[in-house]
Amino acid sequence: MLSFLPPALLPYAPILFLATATLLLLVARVVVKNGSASLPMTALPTSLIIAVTIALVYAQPFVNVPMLTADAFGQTFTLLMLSAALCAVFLSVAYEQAEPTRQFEFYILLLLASVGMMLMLSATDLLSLYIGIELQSLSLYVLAALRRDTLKSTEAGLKYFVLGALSSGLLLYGISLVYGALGTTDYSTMVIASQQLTAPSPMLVVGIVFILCGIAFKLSAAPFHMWTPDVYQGAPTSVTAFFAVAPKVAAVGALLRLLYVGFAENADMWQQIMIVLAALSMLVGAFGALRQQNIKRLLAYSSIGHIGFMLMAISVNKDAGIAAVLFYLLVYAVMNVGAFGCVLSMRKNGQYVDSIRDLAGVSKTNPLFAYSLAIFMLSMAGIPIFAGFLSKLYVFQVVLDAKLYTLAVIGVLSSVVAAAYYLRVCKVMFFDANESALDASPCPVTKTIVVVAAVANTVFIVYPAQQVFAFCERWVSTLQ
Amino acid sequence: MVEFLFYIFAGLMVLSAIVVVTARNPVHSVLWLIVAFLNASGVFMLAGAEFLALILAIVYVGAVAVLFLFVVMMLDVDFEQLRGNFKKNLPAGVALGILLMVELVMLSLSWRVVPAVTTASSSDTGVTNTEALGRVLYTDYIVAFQGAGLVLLVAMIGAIVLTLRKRDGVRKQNIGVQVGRKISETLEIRSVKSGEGIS
Amino acid sequence: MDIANLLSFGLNTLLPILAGVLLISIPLMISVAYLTLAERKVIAAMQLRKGPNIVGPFGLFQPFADAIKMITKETIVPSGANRLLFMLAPMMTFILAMVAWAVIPVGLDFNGNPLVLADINLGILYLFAVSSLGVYGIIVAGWASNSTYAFLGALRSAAQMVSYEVSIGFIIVTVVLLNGSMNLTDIVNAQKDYWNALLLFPMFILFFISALAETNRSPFDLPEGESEIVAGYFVEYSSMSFGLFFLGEYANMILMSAMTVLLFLGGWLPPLDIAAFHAIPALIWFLFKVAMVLFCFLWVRATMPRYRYDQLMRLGWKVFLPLSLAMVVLTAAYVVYGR
Repeated sequence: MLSFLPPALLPYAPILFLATATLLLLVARVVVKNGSASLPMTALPTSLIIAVTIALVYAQPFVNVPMLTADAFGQTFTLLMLSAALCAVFLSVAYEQAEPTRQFEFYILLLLASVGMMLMLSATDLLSLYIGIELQSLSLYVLAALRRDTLKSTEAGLKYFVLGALSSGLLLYGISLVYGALGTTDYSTMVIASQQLTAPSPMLVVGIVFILCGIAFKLSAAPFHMWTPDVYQGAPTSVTAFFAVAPKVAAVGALLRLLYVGFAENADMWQQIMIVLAALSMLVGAFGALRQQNIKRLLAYSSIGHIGFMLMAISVNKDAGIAAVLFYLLVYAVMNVGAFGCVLSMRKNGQYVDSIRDLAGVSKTNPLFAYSLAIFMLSMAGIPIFAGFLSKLYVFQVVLDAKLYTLAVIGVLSSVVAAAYYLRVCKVMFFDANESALDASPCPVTKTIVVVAAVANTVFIVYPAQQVFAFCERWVSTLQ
Repeated sequence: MVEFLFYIFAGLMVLSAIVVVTARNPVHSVLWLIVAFLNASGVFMLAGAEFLALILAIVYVGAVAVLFLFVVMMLDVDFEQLRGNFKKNLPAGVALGILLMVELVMLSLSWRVVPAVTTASSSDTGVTNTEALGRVLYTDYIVAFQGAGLVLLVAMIGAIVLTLRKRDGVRKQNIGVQVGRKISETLEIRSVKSGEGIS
Repeated sequence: MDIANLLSFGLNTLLPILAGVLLISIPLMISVAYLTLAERKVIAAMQLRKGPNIVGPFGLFQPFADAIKMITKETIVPSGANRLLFMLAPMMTFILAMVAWAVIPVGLDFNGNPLVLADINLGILYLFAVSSLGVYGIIVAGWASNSTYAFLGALRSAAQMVSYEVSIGFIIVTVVLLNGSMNLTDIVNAQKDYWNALLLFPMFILFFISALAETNRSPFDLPEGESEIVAGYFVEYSSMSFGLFFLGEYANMILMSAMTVLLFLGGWLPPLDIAAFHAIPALIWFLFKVAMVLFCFLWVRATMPRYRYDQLMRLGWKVFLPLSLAMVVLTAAYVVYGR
């Protein structure tokens, strides 16, 4: 399939294709001047480009090149990330048609952010990791502020940018300290250098702390989560749907590779940090969401909580942890794509609404939507028979195996608290009095995605759970 | 001699960096920032990285700081007003500062240079500084280099997306049209009889 | 270190450097003085006037009269001005115009070595760095004067210089690519067969025009456009602080002409490789070429009307930048595949 490429370029093929195709799309927009860019002109090529990239990633041979690697670990995460981005493109179509603002740049920036996330996921060097993170976050800052005429969106962009720039600075400072302590930025050489360290190096510890702070910010893990609710709420909903899944997949993947490969010898230094981050994130995710009236803010806190669970699995520092993270991430992606599909079909009187109160009585006027959203909420809460239950169970099992009992107790407590607000959404939809009906969901694409995600969440325990579980277990050994 | 110069440059850099933070007038802050950049360039020069030194002067001092200065001069920022919240946040700031200070002291006590780092200098391999930089930039670091290019592209797209506004009713010069005019379209020659004029 | 060592260090190391500095800067100052006279004479001739002809034979002492007048006037610092920066700005302009000359090879000595104070590897980068710093003198002067006209002039000037520096940078890159060195002497020697002006003719024209813009010369002299903003950034200056700006501006003109000559017109090399031309010293060739380019500066001033600000920016960003960028790609392709 890729034989026409010179062998030296082969390992770069997917990323090279994505970047080049994006640039060509950018140029094509300048050449083809049909007034305002019509939606097929942008969404269609964007999804095509991502689809081809997915195929390329799938067909990619596994090789190491300077600063990058192509392995099964990176491949799985990249496929998941790109699929999430593709879903975000599909979900955005209806939204961008209803409220057309700068849709062309939305798709271009989404593609460029995907390039950055691919870099992050295959980086085997702190430098390429940093460049990937920068490319991704810079695109996301602009995406958040894309609706520049509304106060909320500009506020979201500005907040995200200022805090993000600070965290990038921390990350870079940490990288320079690690370089100073170990004399290299390459993961495999870093392992060798840490083995040769004769005395404990405080410089290395501080470097790792700074790097983890920077990545925790990108992950929106507490206590670096402050921007998340505002950005989720302020950004256009199509952008938020993208924010919620793909960047999280990329950041978790990059973090896993960094900790389990690059800092494999320094687990005693980062394990405590991860435990603290995990505990705080779960608590903030649970308690922060209790008083939210806005469904987007609610989902923001929910994602902070989920990140906490994933960090909890990462902090065990065992291969089983990686499997649990992947399992959790898969389920998280499906739940969030579905939930945002629902949010993106909430229209009342021709306008998008995001207040939870507006959902009152939806079960009668719009049952399909109500039942789907209920399934996602219950699944996120971890109610048995839904997919979210299994993923949480898996994480708890891994954590208990590693004898991190305190962390497990915090996790259980916070999921009980979190269940309260998930259930409140269901209560509003099914038991509150109907004020006025929502508009009929017009877009078949969104509807399909929502239904597929809802069905997948429900039947997961019956059919693919066993297979996915086996895949995750088998696949763990590919990270090296 | 080199050591003496290093301490001069490094000392001036730290001093001017302190003044950047403490100066009351924002324009002075930027000017001191420029002084700090120039001293950093001097340190690079002493380390034998003359290409980096000059590029630092060209890019940071010659371009970035000029734009800084532009913005600061035109915005007329009132620092005193910004410092209104200073007292309120003082305890947290002091605590954080002390924490960082302790860490820095810990670092400086444990500072050891890894042997691999000291031998990585390119000055003794016979190729010039610039050439050595070019060689690694397009081989080992090609990913980071091209990635950095994409980051700059995103910055450019972002700046345009967030600021470009199409205003109606603005007259713009179209030089092509102006130059493409022909005499026959714009000028009409009539012979005028004396005392009659043109109607 | 005892006294004898110190003395020998002074005699052997410092003295030659000091002598070199004086040998460059004093002729430069005289050239600047006579450039002002030449400008008035040339423009007068083009406008069928006589120009200065009272002070001395053909007005030859006019520059000295101007200098004495300038020095003896009172220095005025406007109220509300930032005193320190106000005095510092003209000094910065003048010093930067002077230090750039450290790397300019002006010819060959008797042994055939280049006549230059510091023959550094990255000479051209140094020149570019120093000329990019030149904008500070102007912008600081405009801000420190506490005057609207001065500030407007400074803003215009800074924007203009930053814009044209970009294309100048790319033009220099084409030359460096073609000649394979950043050392000015090497660049000149690489032009033995063909001058860069022949091989990179479009870049030569672009560089000359950008040099006009970079030195704020007519037709791009709108930073000081006296008809709109009286005299731009130095409207508040008088006496010798004004004089320093004046000297700096003309020294920069000579510097940009010297750069044009070194980069495109073969430096001190004679136009044809024949013995009769080689009989003339290299220094004379260099000075002759610089004088020719300077004449073009004056010629342009006498013939061209001033650009409007948007036209100036359009020319810089939409014409020069793409052209020079395309030429960088072309030259690089030629260097890789063409030979």
